[in-house]
Amino acid sequence: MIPIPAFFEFECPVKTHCGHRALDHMPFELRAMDVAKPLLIGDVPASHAKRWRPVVNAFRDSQMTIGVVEEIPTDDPQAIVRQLAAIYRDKDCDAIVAVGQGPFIDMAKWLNLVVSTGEETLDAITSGQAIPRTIKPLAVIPSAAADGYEVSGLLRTGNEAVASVNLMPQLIFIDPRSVGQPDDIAMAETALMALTHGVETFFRSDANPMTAVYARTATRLALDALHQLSGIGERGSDLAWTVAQAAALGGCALGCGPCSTTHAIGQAIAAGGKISAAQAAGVVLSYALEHRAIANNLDNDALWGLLCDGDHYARTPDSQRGSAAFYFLRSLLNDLFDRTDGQIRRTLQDAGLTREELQDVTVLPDPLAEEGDTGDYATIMAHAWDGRPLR
Amino acid sequence: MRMELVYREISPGRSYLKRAYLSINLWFMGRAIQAAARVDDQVRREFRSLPDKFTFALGIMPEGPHFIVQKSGVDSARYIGRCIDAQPVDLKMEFKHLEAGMLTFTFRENTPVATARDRLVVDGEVAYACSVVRILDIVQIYLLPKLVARLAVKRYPRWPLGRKLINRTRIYWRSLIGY
Repeated sequence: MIPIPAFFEFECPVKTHCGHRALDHMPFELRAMDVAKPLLIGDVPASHAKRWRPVVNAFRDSQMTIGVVEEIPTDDPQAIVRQLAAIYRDKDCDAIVAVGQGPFIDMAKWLNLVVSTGEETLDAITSGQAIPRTIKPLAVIPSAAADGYEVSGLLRTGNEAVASVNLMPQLIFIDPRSVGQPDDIAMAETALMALTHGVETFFRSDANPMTAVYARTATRLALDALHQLSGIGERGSDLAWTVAQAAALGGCALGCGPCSTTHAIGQAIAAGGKISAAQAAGVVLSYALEHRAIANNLDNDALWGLLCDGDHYARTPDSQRGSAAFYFLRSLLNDLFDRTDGQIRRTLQDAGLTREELQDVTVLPDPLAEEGDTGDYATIMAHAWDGRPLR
Repeated sequence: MRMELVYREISPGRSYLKRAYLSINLWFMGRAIQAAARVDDQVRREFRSLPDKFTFALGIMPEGPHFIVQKSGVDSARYIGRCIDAQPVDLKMEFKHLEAGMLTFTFRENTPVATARDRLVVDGEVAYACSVVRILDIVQIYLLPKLVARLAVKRYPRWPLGRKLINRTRIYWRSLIGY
């Protein structure tokens, strides 16, 4: 069931510290990388939720001085990165510790590129300059409200995108004290993104047994969290922690590989501002997979095996496994819709998008996306709009 | 409008109480190992298996506290002190940070769990480290009441009551006078 290509390469340079008092290991890990003065940066939500406090406390008795910049906005990344790079250099910092989520972490990766290569813009990198192997240490402390790209090797800013395994953070810390307690909607969106990353990476063209391990675990954790959020499963006290782990694993699975059709469509629809990228990707996922199945480009058995337990898998006849998988994904969204009073959307129509608006959505040729056909995108979006199966 | 970022430097400070608690614990444990090597046969056997003049330290990164114990004679040991830089050390076992030391020395995590959770760094021969961990376990069983010692060691042994009571008294007494 796991695809084994004739040749593959796999690299995941991320060292994960997860669990009780995980943050306390940070000074030791940074010292091991010859770091004397890290620069701790936090985005606005993390600063308001005081999520950087346990990080600062972790440095007690470490004999390290830390530079701190809080409440960093993400609206003008280039200007912010320039300012942060100036601070980094002026104050003799030698590592970056980023507490935040989504575009802010992209900014931290960009900052790392600037201080490591001296290039103030991404132009040189996008035009082919190699990202050095010996990039500065970057530690990321993600929250349970993440976009799933934090741990990946992808850097997206505006229309530019860079992918490199060297951009993946060397350290991540998932500590119950720092993941925060976001609301159910934010956690559901994070879990939906992790689910998309997991499922899409499992069936990516360069999938291999190593990515399958990360993808399968990310998928299982994301489904576990979504079941809890939709009220199917009993809600555990460590739900936020599970969601943060699912997002991190999804990012590791994604690595620096090509993005999928679901991501490209999700981002394009989210650009309209009526639905978040995570929710759009969650809605589109089952239709994109069904579209692939119709084109004989998807192993239905493997998909159903990925989504359900062994008992359900064995009880489902071969010929029904594909449709069972698509039904399962849509039914999960229906449950979430009910549970959240419609704040998690089942279809694109639920988000208030009209057919005309959908026709105006242009799925940009993502520089990192796997090749997709405009006609395919339109078909998938049309079915995701009213929740009509493709066959 | 361009926003100016505010930079500040923080020196996160020190935990004086925790450091004092660990210093006292490690000091007493070092002296108790010396005492146990004179009192308990099993500890003596462990020391016999170590090389001559073998020196080991247990402590907290990055700047202590530590205790240093050296094998003296065939099967006895001597508590050297607290300063790790004063002499070469054959085996160094250090907790990565003060909080990891606190978890272990307040018996919320035993040594195997701390090791499994990557909180302990061993610099030296692993075989000797295993001997030292066995010595530490025996000493903890002597020093702590059964209820607490159960949390500190992996398996609490079945010893005759006489061995426990008589040796415990002797180890406590010897630890206090430093003999």
